[in-house]
Amino acid sequence: MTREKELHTAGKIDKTSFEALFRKFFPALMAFSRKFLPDEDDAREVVHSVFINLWERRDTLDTSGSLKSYLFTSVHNRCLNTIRDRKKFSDAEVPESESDIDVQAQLESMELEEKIGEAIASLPEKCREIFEMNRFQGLKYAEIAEKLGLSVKTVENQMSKALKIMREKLAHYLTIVIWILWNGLN
Amino acid sequence: MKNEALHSQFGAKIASYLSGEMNPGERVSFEQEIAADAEKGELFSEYSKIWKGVDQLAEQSGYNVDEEWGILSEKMDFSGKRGLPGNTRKLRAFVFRAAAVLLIGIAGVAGWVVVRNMNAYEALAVEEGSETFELSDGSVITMNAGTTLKYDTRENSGERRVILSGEAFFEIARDTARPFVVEAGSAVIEVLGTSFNVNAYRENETVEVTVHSGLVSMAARSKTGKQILLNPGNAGVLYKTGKQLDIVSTADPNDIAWKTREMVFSGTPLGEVISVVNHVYRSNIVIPDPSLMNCTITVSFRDQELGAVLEVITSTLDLSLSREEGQLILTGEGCK
Repeated sequence: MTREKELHTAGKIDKTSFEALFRKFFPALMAFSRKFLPDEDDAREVVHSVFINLWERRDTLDTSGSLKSYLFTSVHNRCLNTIRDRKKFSDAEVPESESDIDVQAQLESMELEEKIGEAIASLPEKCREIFEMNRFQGLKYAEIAEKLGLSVKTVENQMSKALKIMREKLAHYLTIVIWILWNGLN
Repeated sequence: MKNEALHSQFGAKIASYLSGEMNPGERVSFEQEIAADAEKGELFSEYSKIWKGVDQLAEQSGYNVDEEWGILSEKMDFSGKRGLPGNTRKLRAFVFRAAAVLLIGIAGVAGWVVVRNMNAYEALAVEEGSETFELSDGSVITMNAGTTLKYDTRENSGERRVILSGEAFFEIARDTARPFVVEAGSAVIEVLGTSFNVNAYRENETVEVTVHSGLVSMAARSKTGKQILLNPGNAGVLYKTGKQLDIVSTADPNDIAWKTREMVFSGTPLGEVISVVNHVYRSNIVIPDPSLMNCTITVSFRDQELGAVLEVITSTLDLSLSREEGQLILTGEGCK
């Protein structure tokens, strides 16, 4: 993983680097946490506790490994603890099916998500707008067409254009990495 | 794909399949099409991989990182020590008195246990205003006016037990080995680490528990009743008889207004507004004229004095305020 290197901490964590870590990883950690704990507040509590713990242990933490891996592993463990604690209250409370989600697969899929983000950003203006309205705001083709004053056919063409461009940009990743990822995530 | 024309034509189909734009009939024939043609199948599998990645990105895009950083920063103390606001009193609840054990020795154990059990509870009382206490396990309890809390001073009991009369907001430090148990009126509430409000004034018809974070278990003390699990946004209501236990969803933004002195009203009927104000300020405001109850008000207050709050309400709804035998009486024209 080429990107891993920059995530090793060269020195101690200070408030600035701590905030940068939080900003960089919070959304992905939240999404990861919610795979185990669907309730947003529960998921957030886990992510927060991981960051608070990181801050409190910043002087003693072994920073020779990847911080990214540390964060995801911690969230993973704490989520499992939370699920286990809840079972004390009720046997039927939390399904266990999610507990085998693999941290490594998650880390690797983050690499791909970054690439996908870059690919989306590189789409032509109109094409990107339509693609984001559909995927990020959840609008149907007809709703997008109405909002933008276009025909449904045009929306359809732009959607297919977006996918085509992204596939070209991601060709390298799609052939090399992906089969590992989706074995882990599915 | 080698054939560019086929590619763009079929690409549009894949996109509309993945976006859920196809009807069931179209979906079935599309699925047959990709199953029958290896090249199309491969293209579909690549597109759907991208699609899944995009969906994962979309799941993350809903968070406002500035806001989230603000929420975390508030919980943290970057000076190194973790502190508590202002006038928090620290208590030695749940601390095992090891020295006592050593002195008493084996022969004295039986007698010691009896004595400890009899004296296991110490009491806190707040008569006016509200006060915050920190227990030795790190849990923080804010007690409202007219509230007493007895807490178990033993550490070796396997649980952290308190007995509440009145109202308190609990922020419980996580200790999975020792659940935190609140006895309040006819209810018993058990948590591992979470924050929640318990309203159990003796004069109330109900014991109400609202959850702010984590998971809370609530049951009637009678043990015959069912146990309910409460999530954030839920409230558990136990009626005084101890027979009926309900979960209601609270969107009530004012349930811990007594602690925060922050009240939010949005098109709220006056009767409800006054009931919140009375609860927060321990005031005794009455509205004799039922037609005034229809008036609604949209306003929020942040740590205001009662006088300022009433000033806003009366001038907004054109009401007058009079004082009589310890009561504040609101009168006015009413609203259509």
